[in-house]
Amino acid sequence: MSNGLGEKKPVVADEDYELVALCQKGDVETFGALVEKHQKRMLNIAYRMIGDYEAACEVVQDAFVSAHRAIRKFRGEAKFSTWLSSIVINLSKNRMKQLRIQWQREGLSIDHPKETEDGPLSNDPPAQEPSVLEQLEKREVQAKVQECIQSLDDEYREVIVLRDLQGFSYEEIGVILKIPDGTVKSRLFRARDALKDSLKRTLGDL
Amino acid sequence: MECKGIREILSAYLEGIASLEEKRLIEEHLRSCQRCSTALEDLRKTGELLKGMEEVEVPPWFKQKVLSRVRAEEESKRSILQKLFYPLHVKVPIQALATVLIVVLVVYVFKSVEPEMKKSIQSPSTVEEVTSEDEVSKQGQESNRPLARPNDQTALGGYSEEDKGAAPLSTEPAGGKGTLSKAEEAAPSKPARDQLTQLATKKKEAVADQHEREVEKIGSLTRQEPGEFKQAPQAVPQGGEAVRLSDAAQETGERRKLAAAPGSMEAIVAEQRPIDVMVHVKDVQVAGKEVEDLLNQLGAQKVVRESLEGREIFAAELKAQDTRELFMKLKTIGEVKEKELSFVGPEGDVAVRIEILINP
Repeated sequence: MSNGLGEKKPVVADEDYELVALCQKGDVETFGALVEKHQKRMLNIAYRMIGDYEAACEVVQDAFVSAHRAIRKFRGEAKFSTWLSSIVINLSKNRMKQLRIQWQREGLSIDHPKETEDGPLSNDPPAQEPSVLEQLEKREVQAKVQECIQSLDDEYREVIVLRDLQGFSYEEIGVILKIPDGTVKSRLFRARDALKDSLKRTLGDL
Repeated sequence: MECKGIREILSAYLEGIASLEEKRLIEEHLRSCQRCSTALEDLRKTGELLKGMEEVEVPPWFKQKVLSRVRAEEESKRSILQKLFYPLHVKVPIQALATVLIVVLVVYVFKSVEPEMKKSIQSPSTVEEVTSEDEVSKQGQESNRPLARPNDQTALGGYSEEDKGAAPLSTEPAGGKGTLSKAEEAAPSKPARDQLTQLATKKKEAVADQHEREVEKIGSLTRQEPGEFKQAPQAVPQGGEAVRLSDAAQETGERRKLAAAPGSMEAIVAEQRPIDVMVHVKDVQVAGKEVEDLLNQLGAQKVVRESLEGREIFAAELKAQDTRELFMKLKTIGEVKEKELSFVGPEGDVAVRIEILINP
């Protein structure tokens, strides 16, 4: 725990620079390499932000297409992954707004999005868990956690997703969200506190 | 430290980024506060739950889908570029631009040439052009333009004191024409178009005036003659005159003498009325063709042919020495009647008018 709550992937130095330079010359195949490299992380950001797998896939596609459209304007002031993440976050927030309106119209609760129960998580690799029962239990817990994440305000959810789920550094998060490092920290601590309370309400005893 | 303050730094403590002082404060507080200890424990569990969240996998088609969308976008971008810059698509904007430019150019040229066009509509003869040119250039250099004088006189129909006034050798500027010239001289900066319009108006009057006189002189000439024919013969002597005469003052003098009694050959040719011939034939069409050939044979200039009901009319300019041959040939075509008996000099150009009619 000394390195943080959820540091799963080390943040790479911007090794994408050369690939980005090739893309800026119009090499579509190279852009394919960038897609392949970042697609999983971007999809997980979008999925945890939105909570809907299909919508997350669409958002990340849109994000890559937008990135390619704007790649000539990318000057390398930030890492490519950071830049791409900010596109994904923004598009995800927009999609959330649309979905909230849609769910309200259909009479569904924001806290109970359609697909978290059994849809997208079936894509997870199944080999890790020993018993079906444990697997079901774990999946249920994860679904509850996702519900709780989704019940958070946008500004809490995004820092939780970026820091505790995707392991971005405070500095990177500051760049992605365009807020100062201090704000990132204080917001994150409040977000964790809020999530903790939400989980306690949902799961009972932690 | 109160619980609230401690709670705020618990997260940093868990992450190991709290300062030594904060760490000491928290540990001290936790020993005495059960609620904050529970909060820390819950926070730790929250972190673990988050850590245990499995990642979702990307669908296998994802990359291809993105790339196909990217390619489609590139394609459409390229086709926009093609529309703008490549030959097959570029035509619309470039042709539109070219058309607009041509229209602007045509309008501009037409506007600048308009006054001249008006004049040539009035009278298509070459003399008018010479006259107008002289008129224009006269504005700048009146004194050394002797050639302009006779034409101006003819065109404006002024054989009197007015000419003296405007003439380079004049002693007193008298009459309307003279005054006008002076006025134009006084204001050389006046726009050329204004002058041209002015001149065009004068010309119009002059031509009308001339026509009247011409009709009076000819007298017997058919009234229904087309305008073109009325003007064409006039043009001939005047044009010839303009070329041959070198001294305007002298010419003016000669002209005045002529008005009283015809004298020198040149003057006679200058005053020459068109030879008007009527030829009665059996077949107007055939005769028309023959006359046309004949005129071409004799090297006639400015041949104008007009077909009317039952007759053919030719107007042409011929060398004086060729007129006799013309008459001989015409006699072989049909019955020749000369309406207007004219004196034909041994040299110079003569206007000829031939009317072919069906044998009565």
